[in-house]
Amino acid sequence: MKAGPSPEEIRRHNLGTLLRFVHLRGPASRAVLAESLGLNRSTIMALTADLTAAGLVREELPRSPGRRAGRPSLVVRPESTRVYVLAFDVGVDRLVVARVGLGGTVLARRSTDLPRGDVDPGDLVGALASSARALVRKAGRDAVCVGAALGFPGIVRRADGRIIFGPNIHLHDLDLGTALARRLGLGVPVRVANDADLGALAEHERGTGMGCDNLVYLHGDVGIGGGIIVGGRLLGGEEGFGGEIGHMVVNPNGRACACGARGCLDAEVGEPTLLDYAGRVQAPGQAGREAVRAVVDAADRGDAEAREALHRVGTWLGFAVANLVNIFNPAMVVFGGTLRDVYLGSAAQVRSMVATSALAAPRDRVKLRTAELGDDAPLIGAAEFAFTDLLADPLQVPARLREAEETPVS
Amino acid sequence: MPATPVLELRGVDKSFGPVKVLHDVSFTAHAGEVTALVGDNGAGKTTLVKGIGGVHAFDRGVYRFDGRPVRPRSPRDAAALGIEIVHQDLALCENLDIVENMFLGRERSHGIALDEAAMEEAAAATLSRLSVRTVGSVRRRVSELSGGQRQTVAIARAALWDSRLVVLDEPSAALGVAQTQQVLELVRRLADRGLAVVLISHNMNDVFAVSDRVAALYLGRTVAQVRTADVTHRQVVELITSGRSGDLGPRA
Amino acid sequence: MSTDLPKSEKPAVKFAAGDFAGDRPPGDMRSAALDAWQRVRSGDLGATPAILGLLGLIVLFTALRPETFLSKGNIANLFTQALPITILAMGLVFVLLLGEIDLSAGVASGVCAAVMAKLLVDAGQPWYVAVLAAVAVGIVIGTALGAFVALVRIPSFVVSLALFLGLQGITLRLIGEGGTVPVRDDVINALANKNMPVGLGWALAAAVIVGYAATEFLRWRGQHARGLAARPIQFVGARVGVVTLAVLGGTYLLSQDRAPGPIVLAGVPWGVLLVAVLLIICTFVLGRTRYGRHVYAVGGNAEAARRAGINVTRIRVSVFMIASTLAAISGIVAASRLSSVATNSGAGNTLLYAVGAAVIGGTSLFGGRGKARDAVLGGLVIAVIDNGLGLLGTKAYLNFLITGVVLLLAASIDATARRRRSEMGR
Repeated sequence: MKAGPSPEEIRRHNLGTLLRFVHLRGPASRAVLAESLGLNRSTIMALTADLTAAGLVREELPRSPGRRAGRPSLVVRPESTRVYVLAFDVGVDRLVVARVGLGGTVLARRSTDLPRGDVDPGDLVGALASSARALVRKAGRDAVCVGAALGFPGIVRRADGRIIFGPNIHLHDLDLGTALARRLGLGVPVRVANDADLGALAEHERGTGMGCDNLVYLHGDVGIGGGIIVGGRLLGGEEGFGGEIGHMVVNPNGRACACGARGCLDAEVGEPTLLDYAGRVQAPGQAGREAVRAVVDAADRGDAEAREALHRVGTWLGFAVANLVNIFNPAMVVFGGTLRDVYLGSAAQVRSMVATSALAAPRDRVKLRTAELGDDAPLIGAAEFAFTDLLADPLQVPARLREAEETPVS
Repeated sequence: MPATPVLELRGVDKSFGPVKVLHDVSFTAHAGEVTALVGDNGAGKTTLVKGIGGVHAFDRGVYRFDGRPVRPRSPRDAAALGIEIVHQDLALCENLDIVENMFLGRERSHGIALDEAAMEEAAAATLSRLSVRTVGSVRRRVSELSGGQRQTVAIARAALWDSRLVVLDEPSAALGVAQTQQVLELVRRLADRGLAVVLISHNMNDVFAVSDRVAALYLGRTVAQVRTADVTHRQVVELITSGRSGDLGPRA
Repeated sequence: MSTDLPKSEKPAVKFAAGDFAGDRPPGDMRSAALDAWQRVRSGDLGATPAILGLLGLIVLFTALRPETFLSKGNIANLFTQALPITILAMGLVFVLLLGEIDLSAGVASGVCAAVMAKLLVDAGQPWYVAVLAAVAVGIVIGTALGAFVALVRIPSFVVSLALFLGLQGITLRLIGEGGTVPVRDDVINALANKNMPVGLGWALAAAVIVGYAATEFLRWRGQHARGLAARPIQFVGARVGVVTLAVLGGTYLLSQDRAPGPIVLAGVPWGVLLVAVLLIICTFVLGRTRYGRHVYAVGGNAEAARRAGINVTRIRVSVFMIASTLAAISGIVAASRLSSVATNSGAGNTLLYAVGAAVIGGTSLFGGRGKARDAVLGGLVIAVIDNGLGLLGTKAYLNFLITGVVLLLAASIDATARRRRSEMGR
């Protein structure tokens, strides 16, 4: 039998919990921290001192002197401009790179258009690395990068972050994380995860799903991705390939999907299908999300063809949601990316299908919501993912980085 | 679901002279929920809302707020109870800025001078609580804002006070798609923050996108009040146009 | 990725500058400049046209009459000339803010002055009784006017036109046809004709500057400390700088000996102090009190104000009362300047000059926009035109024509700006 946790482990855990609290919930006074974390004030003081020494938080007077009752108590604030991560979102037709500070502040971002179709892995790494370097250069001298993570629209193995398959970006079996980490040379690994999984994480921690431990997130980019959170944890399955809602078959006699099957959700409600139904040809250079929004816009103005297209797509989306509701009994289903627009433009159809196809018991309480973080959900999720190491052991990461700095890189 | 609805109307009648506009209307709105009020033009939606907001009194019937019988005689009475109505024309002063509009008629002061700092802080806090990031500075004049931004300000004003019930009359009429979506999401967040929200809309997608319940009026009568999760588009449209749909609607 | 944190309401993602304009750091010079430009583009010109016009006119008349226009005597004369117009205009600003008009304010000032003169001369009352009576008459006129507009709902244009005619009759009755009543009271006459000691003038000027600078900087610091929307400190500094220059310049010019003979005649006229005090009070009332906020609200959208629980009727009546009260004070100052009250006091173009002053200063004829300082700026413009044309010796018909053109110009700027605003809105 394993002995209880050592004092060192408890301290590490408490440091992580405190840092995580100010990271997710914003600046807080010691009193609030003590009450929220269930620790006494002297412990809080010691923990804060450690985190301050490591340069992760600072204590200062609250911004507003405000109501003149008594001496204002000090507020523990994350060092959001000095401690940051790099978040990468690889979309089918664009790349976004952001520098995100501790506390979740997007400090700077760059996005680049990506031509659709075959992508050379070397070019992809090069484009991501050069954007990232431009962002790092603009950071202050005393700022330190404590992690990096990347969201990818495809099948990613959780154990090592290896990209197994990208249906809409033609990449196979690629260790993008290691390649990118080497090019960046910042001494931090680049974690890789499925973009919709990251979106689910972001909406769960910072978006509309805050406080909701059972949610399903559906992300539309070109295809459809999904992330499922059960009991506060992201569902992955045996190897982390789980949650691919986009490849749930909703229509066995349906359209061919890039994955090889027929009638996947991806094939029935994805962007090419919607545009096809609406009789639109994507203008060259127009991003997919704009084309989708144009269809919703036209439908709202009374364009019959666009309405019909949304109606058909909404039917399949409704089927999918009904199935998900039956299987997972989520408290919330969140529509992000282009699905936000598709859902709002076809909500009557989607909910009608849910009303007729889902079981009454799980259907009764489920909330259908749009993503509060919009298109940025995967990006914000990547940032949260990148902070994982730091939050698990707050003092170790800065120490390691400092060591690396002192020993010259060969 | 809380046992007591925030708003409960039962057997409400209202006539203007010989014209009977509302006949035995029942309607409830629960905290944390968006209740969509649908019906054709002339079904009595506006009259119902005006009655709720104290613009005119109902002739007969039960009006309970938080379980207590009430009888608001003016919009002021209604506001004192925690009822805010956002009319279609918004009622904003274009020459004033966002903060000034949000506090109009209920300004905070410090002696005889206005306490601008406190009002600005409270307005900014309300907007950020509702995740409104689209209006720019809170000191922008309303005349500089777009239609959707104005709608946002009008709704946020209703949420600034300790309101319990917010009624929105066609908030997305005359807005573009992107702005409509923002307004719908704002409507949803109001309810998620525990307010009871009543949404009047003609757009079925809007109704289904944000509502938890749908109440349908037909020729001055409530023909159904059902959970949105239990009905289909076709059923709601039938209720609006013919007053009944299968099992739903009054038995003949 | 477990979340075992207590769930509390709070911030979703915070975005840095650039993502959303609303989250930019307060006091950023570039965005403030952009804001200002945006305002100008959307037709919110503020005091700019009036200040530019004033400077342009001064340069013009100095060039045409270099030896007389900027002479010390003429400057002092110019200031006292502007006094009655400015005070009358300040009252009209309140009425114009509601989008109403008071055509009777000029003759109301005449009636009040006549009442004062009669009490001083015929009844032998002390000056303060006469002044109080004049102000009381002003309040009564304003209440009656406001009641007809707000309660009986007759357009203010019609009610005040009726009063314009009727009140002239009362002045005529009080003073007698073609007559004048001389005002010999020392206190009254001192108002426009006597100056305060030079030292006191400088002391008050210093107090005004220090007070203004302190209010502005304290407000800026408060906003900055609490993270509120604040203009950059450079803007605040520039404003304080301009006001300081104007006050010091004016005081300097008025503190020079302007008497042609050996007797020293110098100092700021008492009437200027009166205008300064009225300006501070009106600015405070309009800008910093609940009442002022409600005046703007009713002027901007009366229906919205009514729904917000503002007593629109009371606000309507009150602005007419304020306008007539200030008209009474204006009448007293005018009587002081001429040392007499005549049957045509406050008649003729007095009112049009005052409306012109307010509009030239930047107050909108359509309601909802305007400030007390507009009256001062516009009053100076009108006085400069009147005074300058007088020095040029132009014919009377030309004076009327030119003043009319200037008023038309100001109203056009106002109307164009208003159109731009409504175009920019959506």
